[in-house]
Amino acid sequence: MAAWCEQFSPAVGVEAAEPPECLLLDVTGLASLFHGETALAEHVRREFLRRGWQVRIALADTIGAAWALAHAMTDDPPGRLSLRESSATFAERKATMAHSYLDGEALVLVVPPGKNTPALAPLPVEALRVSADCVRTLRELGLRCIGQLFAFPRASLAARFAPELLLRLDQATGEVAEVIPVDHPPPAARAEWTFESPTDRPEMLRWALDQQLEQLVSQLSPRRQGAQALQCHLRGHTGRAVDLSIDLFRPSASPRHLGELIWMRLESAGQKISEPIASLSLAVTATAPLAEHQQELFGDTERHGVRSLQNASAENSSRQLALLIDRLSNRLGRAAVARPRLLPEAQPEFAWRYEALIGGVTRSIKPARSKKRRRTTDQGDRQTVGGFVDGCLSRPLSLASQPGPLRVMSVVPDGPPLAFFHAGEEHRIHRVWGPERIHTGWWRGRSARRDYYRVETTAGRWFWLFRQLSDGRWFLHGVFE
Amino acid sequence: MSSPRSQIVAQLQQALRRCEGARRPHAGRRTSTGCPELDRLLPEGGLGRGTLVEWLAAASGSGALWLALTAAREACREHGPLVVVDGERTFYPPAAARAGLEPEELIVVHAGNARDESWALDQALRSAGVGAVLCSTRRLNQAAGRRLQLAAETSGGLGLLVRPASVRDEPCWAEARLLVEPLAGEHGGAAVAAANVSDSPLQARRLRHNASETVTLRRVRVELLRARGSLTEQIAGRRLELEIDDETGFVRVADRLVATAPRAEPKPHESTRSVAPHRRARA
Repeated sequence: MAAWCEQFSPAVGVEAAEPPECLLLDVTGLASLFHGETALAEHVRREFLRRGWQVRIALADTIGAAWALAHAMTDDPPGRLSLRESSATFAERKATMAHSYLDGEALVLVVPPGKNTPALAPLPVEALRVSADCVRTLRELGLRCIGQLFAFPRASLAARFAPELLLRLDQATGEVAEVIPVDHPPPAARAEWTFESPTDRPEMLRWALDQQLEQLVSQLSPRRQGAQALQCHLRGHTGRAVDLSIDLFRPSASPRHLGELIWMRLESAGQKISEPIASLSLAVTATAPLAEHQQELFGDTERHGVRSLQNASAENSSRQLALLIDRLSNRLGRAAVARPRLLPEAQPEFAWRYEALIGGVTRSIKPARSKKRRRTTDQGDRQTVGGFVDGCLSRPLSLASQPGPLRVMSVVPDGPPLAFFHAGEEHRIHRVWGPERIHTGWWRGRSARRDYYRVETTAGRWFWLFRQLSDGRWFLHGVFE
Repeated sequence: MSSPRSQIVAQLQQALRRCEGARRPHAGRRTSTGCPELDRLLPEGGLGRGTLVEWLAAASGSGALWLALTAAREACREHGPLVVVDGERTFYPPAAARAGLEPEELIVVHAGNARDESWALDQALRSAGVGAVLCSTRRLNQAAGRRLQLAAETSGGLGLLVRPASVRDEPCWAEARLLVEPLAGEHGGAAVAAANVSDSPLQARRLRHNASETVTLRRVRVELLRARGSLTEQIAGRRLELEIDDETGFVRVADRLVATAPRAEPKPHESTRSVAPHRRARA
């Protein structure tokens, strides 16, 4: 059916859920071909009817919203069809009223661009594509429609519910981009090579690999595409196979770079390839348009010589960076190469999260949105008792993954520390700042209630200690390296 | 020292620098550490592109990593993101954000073992797309040091290595090797000793309050141990006392007047040994 739908849109995807319930069509920029969105939706409905299928069609700015509308129309589900468009392309079109009509077999709902949020508000929370557990929790709290969720500050939703909820909410409103998983990828480039006789010589293998990569890239280059993901399949002469899959930070059409990545993985998988290799096949499983060539073509070198030179060098360095990220991720694993993201959490060990650079949500080096996010208030309570200033040095650069228990001397039971013993050393405290009291939410299960002290020893070394308020025990949490 | 001999040494040094300059295409390009006096301490008058700088921490909690991180900040503004090779998984990004490095400017690489760590450092230094590479490590071997220096030279990158002071006698391939020693500060914070002397908790609180009104300064001493192309005797005694402002994050030379002013209240648990070495030298 997805293939059949390609008559309406070049990008047709089946919903990623199991079992899939929806067909997703990207209709960005297509409405003018069908004389308007409503006409387009109507056309799709008619074509389906002619083949004897009942459909519910929703057309909205985002996949999430279209999904929600398509699902919320009635309770008994016939086949659904969600269409998506990007509002940017339709900015010039005048906003029409939402059309919704039902004529027995099919329902069609078109949300004009920019009217996403009001259209979502009255829908039930089930329409958000969240798990049954999450829906149950929401219902228990008396939250029935999506509009009620919009009323809450983001931070409190993030703290109280699974991250899934915020993600789905953002996908519905378009805060977070979502891509239709196109069902028919453009014919992926492939290349195969069979050795005349199985070889175990690395240089032979490398030579064949490079040849095949050249071929792959020559298949991609007319489409101005670069490989975003690669599969490499090696078969030994007894039939044992080794599969490698390689993901890239930025699409690449450089055989040398791709070859290097594959080779690196082969070397680390060396012990698995114990027998001579009989054949090798490569397939590009995901492609993306190459960005950097465009600039070189259209950059007017003559008029703004200096600027485009700078552009070129910036372009070069960002390409170099992408290569570096690819290399590091390939050898150390995706999760090992990450960008931190600060979270509005008071408890220090939860105040940030690492997001892998490859396969993550954001691919740009400097996403502009995160700045806004950071300004949200901290979750949980923070009080400072001793006139503590939240300065540049208020957090240690080195934080222990597990706070280590400490023996601390202090004069009054709840007073500041005087000296502490750590790793067989006695540290006498010269200056102390604090306490900075940190409470965290009870809804996180075991709540943390701590008094943090920043201390300077008589030797001038700085440490970050806290006293657990529940039992008065002391811990060393960080070192101001 | 006789003058002909020192002249010969100076000539040879110049010749050596010329030879090295030819090999290093990025010589002369440098960024500031954010503190002009610290820049002057460094052989190139700042952090040169295509070089390594070692920061030896005299002890844990000495502030060496903080100094290195803030020094990298400038370089990253101009040249790209900061790659932090975090072998021990202790790097704390919220603190880096307070030091002025936005999370978007950071790439944190976790390397499990020493081999991966030194490989990741090498790769990051070789990449022209990186502003600076920062790594706090105690497991770098000597051969790796040489390789890293060459890697930085080829790409024009900048490597900042924070290492324990126990390696100070090992051969140094870096452009400069700095020793960072912690110093006890004077102002800000609650004077614990004073607070203890007073019996009444109310007075202790007042003392603490007074102390916290002044700006908190963290003090460190930075000493140049080695500099490429200079003899140890030439750079002997090149040291600085710096203070880091808690409020602004600025690094500046410690105010000597403050440093030498007598303490308002002699602390009972400290004896005369607490006189700082530099004061003894001046006396």
